[in-house]
Amino acid sequence: MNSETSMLPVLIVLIPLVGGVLAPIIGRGIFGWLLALVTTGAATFVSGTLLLYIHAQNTLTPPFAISYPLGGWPAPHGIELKIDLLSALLATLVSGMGFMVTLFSRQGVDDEIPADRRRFFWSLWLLAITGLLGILITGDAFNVYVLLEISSLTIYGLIAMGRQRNRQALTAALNYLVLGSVGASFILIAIGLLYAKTGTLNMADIHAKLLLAPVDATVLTARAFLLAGVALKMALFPLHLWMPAAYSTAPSAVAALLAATATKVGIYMGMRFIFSVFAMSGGAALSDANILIIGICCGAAIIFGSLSAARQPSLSLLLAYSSVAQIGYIVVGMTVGHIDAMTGSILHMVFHALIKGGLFLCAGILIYRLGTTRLEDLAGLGQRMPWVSGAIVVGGLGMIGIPGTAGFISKFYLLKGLILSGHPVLAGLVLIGSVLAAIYTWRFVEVAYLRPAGDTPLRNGLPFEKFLPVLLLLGASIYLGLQPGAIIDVAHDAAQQLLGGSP
Amino acid sequence: MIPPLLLAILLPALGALLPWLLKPMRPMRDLFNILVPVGLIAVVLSILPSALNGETLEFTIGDLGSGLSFALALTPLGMIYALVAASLWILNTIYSYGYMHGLYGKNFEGQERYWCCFAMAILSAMGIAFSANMLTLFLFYEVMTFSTWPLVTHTRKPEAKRSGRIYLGILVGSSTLFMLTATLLTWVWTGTLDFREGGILSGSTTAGQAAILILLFFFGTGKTAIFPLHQWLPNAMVAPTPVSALLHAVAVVKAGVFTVLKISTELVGTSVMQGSWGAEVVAWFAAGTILLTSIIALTRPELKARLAYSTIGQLNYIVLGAAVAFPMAIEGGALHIAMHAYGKITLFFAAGAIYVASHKTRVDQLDGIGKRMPWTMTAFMIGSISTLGLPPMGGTWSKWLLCVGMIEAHQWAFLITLLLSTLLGLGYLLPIPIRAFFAKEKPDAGVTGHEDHGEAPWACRIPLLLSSAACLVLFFWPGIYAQLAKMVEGSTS
Repeated sequence: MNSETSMLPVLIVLIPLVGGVLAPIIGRGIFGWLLALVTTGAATFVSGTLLLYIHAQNTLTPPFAISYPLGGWPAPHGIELKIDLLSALLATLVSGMGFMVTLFSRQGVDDEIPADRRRFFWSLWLLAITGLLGILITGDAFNVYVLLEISSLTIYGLIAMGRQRNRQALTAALNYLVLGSVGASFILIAIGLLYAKTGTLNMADIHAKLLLAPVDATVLTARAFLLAGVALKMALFPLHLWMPAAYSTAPSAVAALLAATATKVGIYMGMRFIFSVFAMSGGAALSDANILIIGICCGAAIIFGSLSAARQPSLSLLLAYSSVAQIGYIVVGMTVGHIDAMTGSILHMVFHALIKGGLFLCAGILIYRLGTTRLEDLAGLGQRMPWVSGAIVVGGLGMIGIPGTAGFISKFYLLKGLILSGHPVLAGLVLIGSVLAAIYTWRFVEVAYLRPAGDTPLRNGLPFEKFLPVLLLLGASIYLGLQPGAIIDVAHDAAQQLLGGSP
Repeated sequence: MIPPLLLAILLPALGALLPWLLKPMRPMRDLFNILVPVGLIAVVLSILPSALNGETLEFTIGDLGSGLSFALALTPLGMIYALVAASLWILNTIYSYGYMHGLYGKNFEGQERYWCCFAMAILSAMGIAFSANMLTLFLFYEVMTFSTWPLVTHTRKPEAKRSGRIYLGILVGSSTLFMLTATLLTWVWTGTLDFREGGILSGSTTAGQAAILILLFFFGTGKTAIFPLHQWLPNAMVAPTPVSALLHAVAVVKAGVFTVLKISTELVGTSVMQGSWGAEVVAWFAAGTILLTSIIALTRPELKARLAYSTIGQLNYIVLGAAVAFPMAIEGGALHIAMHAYGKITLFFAAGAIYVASHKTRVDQLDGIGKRMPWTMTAFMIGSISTLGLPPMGGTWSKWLLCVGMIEAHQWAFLITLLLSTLLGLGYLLPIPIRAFFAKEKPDAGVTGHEDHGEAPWACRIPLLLSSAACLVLFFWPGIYAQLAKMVEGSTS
């Protein structure tokens, strides 16, 4: 690595961290937003650069990952930042989505957050992004926990800020606080057990020592705690209970950010620990019993999530329950440990973030202009807001996985992997999930296009900077649906690195 | 220079955008509504010589890696479908003006959506016709389903909404659960999804796997309306008649039968089809559908419903041909795509013209209507004869070939099915024009407010006269279509 790029890994977390600290001081008025925009933009640029660099290097000399000793203390004693393709890809995704949602949310935040709290909002916002990005790039297990707490605590605060619009945001935040803390402490217990077992906190080092030692009850207990904690964080059925309320009551910008990034980072933690820490020699990361239990959870998530989505009274809740189902897809792909399924899983993380992020932004526009996302108030939306409702339909098609949208590509790989690894039942569930997705998407379509327009007055116009991110995200869904070659390449290499066993 | 195959997709895409862009300029929009289909015919005709010479133009839209791509390629079978869709688009556009303006006024509600979705349906038809692999076909197949849904539910009435649900439920459900699964399994088992002469299955799958794929593919193609997936078609009759004509004669149903023919010849391969029990099951289902729907058609008093059930039967002629997969049956099936299209669109145009002029929808109201609407009913007569496959109309040839194919395959039961359904067709179709001309008009037959009517507007009459003329011409000069169908047959052996 040459001298210009050598500082980049640490910049990924440093930039939003500095932004987050500065925000309460200089973030009054429009400056908070500008600061957030600049920092997330810079973080996106840095992580994108790293992604391109790592991908190029990885094609030359696989597997390639960047290791950066913090403060010059070498691993395993010092804290190591370790960025492989998956980290870089998701860091680009998280910071990029952060940038898009920030771009989107100037008026939204003005609308939903009282003036004297806005600078604290932007501070929490940037610190949450810092935490999420940190989890992605650190190679140290305890560091993961610390950064997880940073992102979680800030996110609880962000959700609670939705109380201006909806008092239930407080309950939702408290719910999430309790459940999230339980999940985080499970993860902490797991890390503690691993430390007791191996005497180290560096993930690569833990992995190396676990490979040498026989698998005993301590390791299995650690794995069980870890899986349970991570499942809570990523809202895997039946541990998803905090999610729909949190997504539907949080400020619209926060909902979009959470849906696009927070659960993805939870899934990343799962992937990282399972495949880079717990993976046994020979590559088998999970036992058959593990796969069975997680498979059942995922299947239930897909079916239950989709069916619930079809019964929700508001678009926000519909989208939230659809996320429950989509997380089922992603987790099922990573569980079976097949290269194609893992590729599909990683692709689906990215694509679902783009699509669901775009859809939550649309919901944000509805809140901004109509003040509600209740489906009965959206009657005739196709005439009243042709652009926004058209965008929602395009996003919905992506969630169904219609060919020509990105959602199809990821599902295709997922299905191939599931079939090849001998899990036809899971493949069948994924297919049924697509049909169910058509049902809940079509609930919106019928309301928006076949019912006469309602008379709820529109409060605001459609600002261009609000619609631009929607356009970019859903446009990306179509573009990547037709020209997915490059991203499939990246996802495939990332999956290979992950399954190869080295962090 | 844009490759012509891509142009055939881009032109309808332009046609889908212009209604929105030219919203404030109605005359300009109307001009382009006519010009774009004319341009498409020109493009398709410019590709025709290459198709007749057996050239394969190719164009890749997007590369997905792992040997997968979205790509276009020219084949004789695709040329037939493209030619039918392009030539009938222009007729249907003219007819739409006559029908929609006649019924709903010059500024009918949702006209931008109407024209846009129409063009999108043609776009997907072109995509399906020229798809080079199963993935591309699946892409455009789904685009077609979703782009025609707004047309089916155009009136936004509760029954339209209900039909829209059935339409989407059957088509999306079957294609996602079965067609996508079959596509995936094909990819997993053979490592490719490209359409090739002779198919890609032989040698890489066992007989059992092939049979499963055949079943999944044929019952995943809900657009063929094979029993038990046929319910969407009669239900979609709530749509305005030009849409029904487009759906049932040109784009949607032909997309279904084109898909199964394509799968039979270039994916599964006729040699695999012929010996497979999966194909046998499909053939029996198709034969059963033919007889069942012919009988149901006899009992339907609504003209459009009768035509709908007749369509289901006719489609399953082609499914039967594709399933039996003997050369003549394939050739007959390919030719039937074209012949049935011209005959059936004439009938739908006529049904719509009758409705515009007289607001009559039931068969028993049509006694003696031939004196008031001689042009329309003459065309109806021609269309009926062609649909039944009797001389001197174009439908003769395809039915003839299909029957020869059944003899070739020693499938006597299916031969009898075809002949029996012709007899039934004589019963449900021919009496309509005969009674229109020779029976006396019932005194109370008129619809209140429309008792004294004449012909439909010229914009309705010209297209139906042209399409009925095509039926007649295609008997004496089946020319290009026959040649292309012959090439399809040649490629299978």
